[in-house]
Amino acid sequence: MPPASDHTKTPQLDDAELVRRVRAGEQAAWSILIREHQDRLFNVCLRMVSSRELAADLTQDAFVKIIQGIDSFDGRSKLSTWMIRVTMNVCLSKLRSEKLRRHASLDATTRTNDDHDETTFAQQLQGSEPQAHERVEQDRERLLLQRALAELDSEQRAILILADARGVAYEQIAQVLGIAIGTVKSRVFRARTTLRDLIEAQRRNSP
Amino acid sequence: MSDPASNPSPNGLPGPVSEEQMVDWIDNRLSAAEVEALVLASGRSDIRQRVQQLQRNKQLLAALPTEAAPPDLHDRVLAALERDALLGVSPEQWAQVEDSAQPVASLPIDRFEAQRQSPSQGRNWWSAAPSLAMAASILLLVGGGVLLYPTIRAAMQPAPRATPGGAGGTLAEARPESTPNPLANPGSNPVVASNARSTTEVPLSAGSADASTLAAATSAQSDASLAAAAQPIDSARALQLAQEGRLIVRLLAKDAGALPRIEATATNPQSRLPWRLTREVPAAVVAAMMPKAPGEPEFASAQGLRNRTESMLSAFAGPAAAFAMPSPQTLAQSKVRGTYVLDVQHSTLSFAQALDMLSKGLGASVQFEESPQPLPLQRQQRSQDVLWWTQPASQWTDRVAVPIIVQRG
Repeated sequence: MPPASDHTKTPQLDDAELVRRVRAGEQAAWSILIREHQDRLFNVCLRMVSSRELAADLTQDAFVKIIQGIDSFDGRSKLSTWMIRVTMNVCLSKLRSEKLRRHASLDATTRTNDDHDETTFAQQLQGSEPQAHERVEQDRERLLLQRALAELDSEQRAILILADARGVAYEQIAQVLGIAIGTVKSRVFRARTTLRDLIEAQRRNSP
Repeated sequence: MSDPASNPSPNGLPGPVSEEQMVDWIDNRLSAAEVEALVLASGRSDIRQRVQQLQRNKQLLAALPTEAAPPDLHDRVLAALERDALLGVSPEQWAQVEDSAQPVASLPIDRFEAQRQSPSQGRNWWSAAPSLAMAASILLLVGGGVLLYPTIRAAMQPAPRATPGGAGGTLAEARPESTPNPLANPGSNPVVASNARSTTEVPLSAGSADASTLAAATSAQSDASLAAAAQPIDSARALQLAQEGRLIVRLLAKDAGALPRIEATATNPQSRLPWRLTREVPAAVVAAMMPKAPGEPEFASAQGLRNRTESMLSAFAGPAAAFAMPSPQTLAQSKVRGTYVLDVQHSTLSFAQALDMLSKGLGASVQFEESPQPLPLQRQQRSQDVLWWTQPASQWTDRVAVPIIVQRG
């Protein structure tokens, strides 16, 4: 499934107009902002913490900070990119303060994906044999990936989610993080290789 | 870091190839010739396979299923925003939203409000000129009043009456004897005396009250008040008093700067808070809540309450008010920052939550006061009250109206 587009806003209300109305304190604009971006930000949080409840709490915190701090959005990046970055900061802050990385990893991910596996397996029984086999393999790969992602250092996980899961351009990441594009690429590459190593380790340990 | 020489073989990948080049390869941004050159430069036969692995992982990451946000997230965010507006947050928080290295926190509302204005507004002195001119005018008026007051006062006084002793009377001696003033020192401060005169509506016969009886009565009342005050009012008792209409909540705030934003949120009819504030407080209730000057007697009757209301209003009205020196009563009342009626569910928890939010938002301490008689308060009916059966069962609880006064403490 391709990453969600960064442009899900209604065409009548562009970023600048939405920001202007949020700055003016219009509660209707707050609602528009929340409704248009809640799925995207929730999924960012979900990738970071692997727990729906915690992800919902973090998304809520992120929205509060976004609306309260909308004046610090200077328009250099897209609004959605800036919002993702703020959300990522909220997640990283939470992970750092509570050292959740370890126990946010396997349990929740395994539980979620085991449930998911059961569903997909039942669905696969109804499909043709080769397709079912492919999907089982795909789901297994996805499970390994999610486990490895949860094991990844939170900073590396963050940049991978930005770059690969959300499809944010390196230029945008560089602008939002205030670092050179080469540094972004370097960090992305290292995160990718670390992830690959973790997946391989998962594969070796799995039966 | 992208220099192959300075960064040899990071993560087990080929040394002579930079990380940026590898990323471009994984992202399929290189031509076939460029890929071939990289393979040759790396000197590793398995580099294609490794890159394919990374590409596969990237595709899997992009293909992770998205989930819908919880349906109540929107309402939760709005409720949290209102709560933050009430409680405020410390100025140290929300240093920089975009600082990736630092955890971010909420932006204080006052800073948020300040930032809402365009930067030029803060520097434009000309835009503040009308306000400055008005402030200067008020200062001149007050200063002139203070300077002219003794002259005007002396001119308005009748000539001292001749006394049997033949000596000229003092200002206090010249006061008509029909206005007994046992609470103030008549010769020391005529303005205080005048104010004290207006408070002699304590339920005693003014005509029969000499200084000693009135003082004794006042003392007895004060003792009763002190005894009542000595009994702590817990939240259950406070709620009971609230139901009887005899509770006054006093919020003593060191800095009531947060009051406007709290008021804006808590009085908003669209607020999702389970309680409301209203600014529409009956004058008699305001009078009952007003802080009392030291030595000012309590009132214990409806007539006394009415008299106090009238005296309180007259202190701020009429031409004499412009030249009157502030009395202790006026000074005490000047501490008041706002009076409200709290509309809240008749439950200890709801009541405590509302007060907790207000006290935290204002950094204030809470004082309960018991009024000797029910205050003339009418709770505003809302549509939910009339159509109560349309509400969840949890909302069927009775509601109470509690007067709240916010003052500098």
